[in-house]
Parts: sequence; structure tokens; C-alpha cells
Amino acid sequence: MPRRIHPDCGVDPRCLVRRCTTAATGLRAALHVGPTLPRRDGHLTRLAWRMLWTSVREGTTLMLDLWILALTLGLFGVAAGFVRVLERL
Amino acid sequence: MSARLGLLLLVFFGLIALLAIPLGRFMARVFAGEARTSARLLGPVERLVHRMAGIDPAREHTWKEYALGVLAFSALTQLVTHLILRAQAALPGNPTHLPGVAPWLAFNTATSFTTNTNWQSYAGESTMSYLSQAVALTSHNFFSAGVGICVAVALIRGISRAETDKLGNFWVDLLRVHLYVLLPICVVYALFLVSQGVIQTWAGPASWTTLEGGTQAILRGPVASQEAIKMLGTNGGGYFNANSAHPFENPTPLTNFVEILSIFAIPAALCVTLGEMVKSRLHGWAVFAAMTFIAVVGILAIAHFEHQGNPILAREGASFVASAIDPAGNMEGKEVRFGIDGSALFAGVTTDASCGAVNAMHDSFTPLGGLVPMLNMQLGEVVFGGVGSGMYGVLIYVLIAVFLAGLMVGRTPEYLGKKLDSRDIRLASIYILIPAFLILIFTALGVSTEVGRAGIANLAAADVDGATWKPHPHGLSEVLYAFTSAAANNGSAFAGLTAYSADHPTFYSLSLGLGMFFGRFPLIVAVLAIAGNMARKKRVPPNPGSFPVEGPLFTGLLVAVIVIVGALTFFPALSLGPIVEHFLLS
Repeated sequence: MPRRIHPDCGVDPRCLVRRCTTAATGLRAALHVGPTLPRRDGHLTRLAWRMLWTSVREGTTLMLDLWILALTLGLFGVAAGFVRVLERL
Repeated sequence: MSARLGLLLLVFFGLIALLAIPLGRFMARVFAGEARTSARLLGPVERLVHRMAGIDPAREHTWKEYALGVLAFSALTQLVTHLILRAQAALPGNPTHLPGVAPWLAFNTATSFTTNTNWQSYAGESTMSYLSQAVALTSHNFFSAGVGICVAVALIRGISRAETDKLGNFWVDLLRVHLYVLLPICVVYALFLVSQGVIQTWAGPASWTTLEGGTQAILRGPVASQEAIKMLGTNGGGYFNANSAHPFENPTPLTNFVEILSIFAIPAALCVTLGEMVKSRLHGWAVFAAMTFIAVVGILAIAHFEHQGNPILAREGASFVASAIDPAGNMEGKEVRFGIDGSALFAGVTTDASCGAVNAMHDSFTPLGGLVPMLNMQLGEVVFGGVGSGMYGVLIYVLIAVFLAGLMVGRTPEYLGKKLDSRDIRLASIYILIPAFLILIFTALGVSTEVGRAGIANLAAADVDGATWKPHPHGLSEVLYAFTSAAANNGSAFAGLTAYSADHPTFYSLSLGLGMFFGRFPLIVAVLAIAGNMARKKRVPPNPGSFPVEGPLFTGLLVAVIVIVGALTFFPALSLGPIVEHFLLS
């Protein structure tokens, strides 16, 4: 998903608002003037977008996935609780 | 017993004993931090990981910390596996463009591999991408095996130490077992498998023109790397649906023998490790002897019943006379190249250990031939058992045997200089009861609900009239086997049972998942609680009343306790399944 960035400093000027990570980054973006070019997302970013898109496409199972996630965590929570039970046995 | 099977068993258990000595002593040194040669090679890697992960190797854990470490590690790895399976469509390493694994199937599979069960409600080659197989599942084969060994070592430390509450550092143990034991062996093992014809490739399916001119896709993948740890870690989850009957997983007689050997290698070696760590080598060999005795009897029984064949076929005139090209007997579901003896050995070993890999279809065994693998699992997977889990399981039986011996002579039971108290026995009882409860309750649920019965292949017996459900004993066996396999963390199946389908995705996925989970982690917690309790005790010097745990008397008592507890618990259920089916045939 291409976005616009400053060609020389590589900073997305919208990061000030959307996803600024550091003050320095934000400052560089704010001070920079000049043309912008389309940016190619990094490999991991593209992978994350694809995974997100896949999960949206299979959106009907999203709630089920959340339930199963909760179940998994709950099971390990029960097992951790069993440690306390056996401690007092 | 044929001479061939006798020779096979002699060579097999002889080699197991020979392998166990160096490997068991090496593992004892690894866990004591005294494997100097290996440490010179891999020590820098170990120290680097410690630094990166912020692990202080000098800080040991109490049993509670150790247990919470096991649970935290397992929870994290299970969630990562689950996510990879669900997202495999969007991940690389998917040349056949398989969709994401369905939610309940992903839960069942992630739970299965986390618990060292490797129950597979799917066909690997048509469900899992290369990445899912090689990263999500294979890494779990290592992790779950490593966790099992760590817990066994923590229990042995609890027995061997005195007046302390420390059992070692879980993270240090986990790293060591991977770095020094599992990974080096698996690298060599995988290369050996490749040399024999097991495939290892990231290329997509090969296209082949058949003799009739059609086109066939030959499914491939990174098989050897998964196969090595699948057997060594007693995991059992096959790359292909046919598991070790598939020629790409098990191509030659040599790979067949080595694969069976590798199932028992670490569990047998842990007997030697036990002897080394508790400073009583004979005790380790006494445990080894008990395991070997039960295993040999089981394998002989399977071979005997399979050689008998199906009596109905005999009545119809089928010949059961052995010849050069016919082993005679029940060959349904067996590879001709392995025959009855090779299949019986594999079936006995894979269900003694909590491996679950198969080179024959257990569902096609004769009723009593199929009963033995089921009983092997119901004994608690303590006949060599899973890597680690077999050792800590048999040590629980050792405590019960020593306790009973103490009661018989009217003295306080004492094990290796530690007096057993009521807390030890209460915890051991919990360990024994949880799997029995899981197996019987879930089996009852499976056969008494419509959704449970929907998965049964051999559902109805034609000769029961007037009943709303005409139960076939083999149908009960399918369900009983499934939940036994799950709770015992074995993973093999009476594959007639359809545990996952688009119509019924939830019932068996969830119930088997729960069976696997509660058959693993509460038991580990109980074992570590026993380890903590044992470690705190003072050591008392041996006296004339101490029960010797080094001789044939102890071995006999241990065998009796294992068999009686297993047989008494499950005899009624077995009577309604395979035993009734046997009498229906004869």
C-alpha cells in the first residue's frame, strides 16, 4: 500500500498526526520541505497488510477466533491456578 | 512367536540398551552443566542466548516458578503456532496456495503439538503449508519434547537433592536440552534420512505423467527435518496423512528400523540418566527392565493376534498359511513391505512411547490386536513413554509401588533415602486419576451424544433390533481410542473416526483439545509439586527396613502396579469395546 514520503529524509510527513514515534522524527518531518515520492513498504509491513487483509476477508470467523484465543488463555490460566491449588494441598 | 520376530526384538532392545548408556550419561552431564566438550563448542551460543533473554543461569527455580515457566513458555508457543496456522494463506512457504487452517482445527492442532500429542484431525499434505509444517509444527516437536525432558529432570533433581526448595532453572534446562541433545542429533538424523530417500525440499509439487497418460501431482515438502524430531521427540505428527507408512517419510527397511529405534532412544536413555543423577545405576536399570518387560509382552501379543487373522475370513475359506510372499494373518491396513511383525513392533513401540506415529493402520488390527496399543496408552504412557513424560510418569508409579511395599511390611515407605508422606501420595493419586477421568468421561460423552456419534465409522451393529442407536463395539473402540490417545498425549488413532468435518467442526476438536491439554499440564504441575516436596526432605541413611529399588523384586512390583492400575481402571470400557468385538467375530 504506497504512501507519500519525503525523498531525502524518508519520513512520512503525516506521521506527526498518525504514527509519530519520536520527537526527532516528527521534527524532521515538520521542518522538511520538498517534493514527495511513493514509498515501497518494507517486507514485514507488506506481510502485515496481507495478514490483516486475509483476516478481514475471512471476517466471519473473527469472533470465533477471539473466543478460541480466550479459551486458550483461559486453559493456561486454569493450569496456573492449579499450581496454587496444589501448593495448598 | 516367529524366529524372525524374536530376533527382531532381541536386536531392537539390545541396541536400545547400548544406545541408552552413552546418551543417558551424556544427558546427566548436560543437566549438571558438566558436558565440557559440548560446552566448548556450543557454550558461547548458550551464553549469548542467556544474555539476550536476560536469563541468570545461577538462579534456580522453586517448583512453582518452574511450573509457571513451563506454562508461560507453552502458552506463548501455542498462541504463535495457532496464529501461523490461521494466517498461512498470507504467509510465504505455501506453494500449493492452501487456505488458512479453520479456527477449531487450528486450536486442536496447536494444542496437540504443544502437548506433544500430535493428534492430527487433518491430512498434512493437503491442509498445512510448508511454512506451517516446518516452522509451526516442527518447532513444537522440539519444544514439547524439550519441556517433557526438563520436567523429568526436575523430578529426578527433587529426588536426588535434599533440604532445598530449588529444582534448577527451567530456561537453562530448556536451552540445554535443545542445544546439546535434540538439535545435534536431529541434524545428523535428518541427513541420514535424506540419504535413504526421505525428501527435503521447498519446491512445490512435482508433476508426473502416469502410465495411462494422465497427470499426477506428487506432493513434496521439507519432510526429513520434521521426520527426525517427529520420531526422536516421540511426537508422531506425520508430514503426510499416511504418516510413517508413506515412502517419502519411511522409504527403506533401514529407515523403518531406525525410526522405531529413535522413538525409544531418549526415553530409554533417561533411565540411565535417572541412575546417574540419583547415584544408583542399578535403580535406573531396574526401571528399564520393567519397561522392557511390559513392552516385549505387548509387542508379542499384537503380533500373535495379528497372525491369527480374522476368524470370519478363515471360516469363509481364506488361507492363513504363511509363505514366502504371504506373512499369513491380518494384513488389512498394513504395508506389505513391513509385514505383520514389522507393523506389530512399530505399533507396540509407538503406543508404549507417547509417539503416535504409525506404519500401519491400528483401526484395521484385529480386536485384541488393537486392544494392546490402546492398553499401552491407558497404562499412562510409562512403558518408556514420551520423552520426559515417560520418565516422570513411571517415577509416579515407582512412588506408588514403594508406598504399597511399605504398607505391606508395616514401615514408613522410603524411596532412595526419602520418606514418602501423604502429600506425595495425594499428588501421585491426582496424577493417576486425571487421565482416567478424562478418558472415561469424554468417551461417554462421545458415544452418548449425536454429534459425537456422527464421527464414528463403525457405528451400527445390524443384529441389535429395536434400539434407537445400535452400538457397534468397534464404534466404541474408535471413540475410546481417540480420547485415550488424547489424554495420554499419544496422537495415534483408530482412523475410522472422523474427528473433524465441515458439518461437525467443534465437538471432537474441542473435546480432544481439552483432553490433550488436561492430560498434559495439570499432570506436569502435579509432578513438579512432588519434586518440590521431595527436594525439601531430609535424606535418611539406608536401614534393614528400606525397600530395595534395585533388584528383580522391585522390577516385578513395579510391573504389577503399572498393569493392575491400568487394567482395573479401563477393563470395563475395554470389555464393551475390543473384547466384545473379539467374541462377536469368533
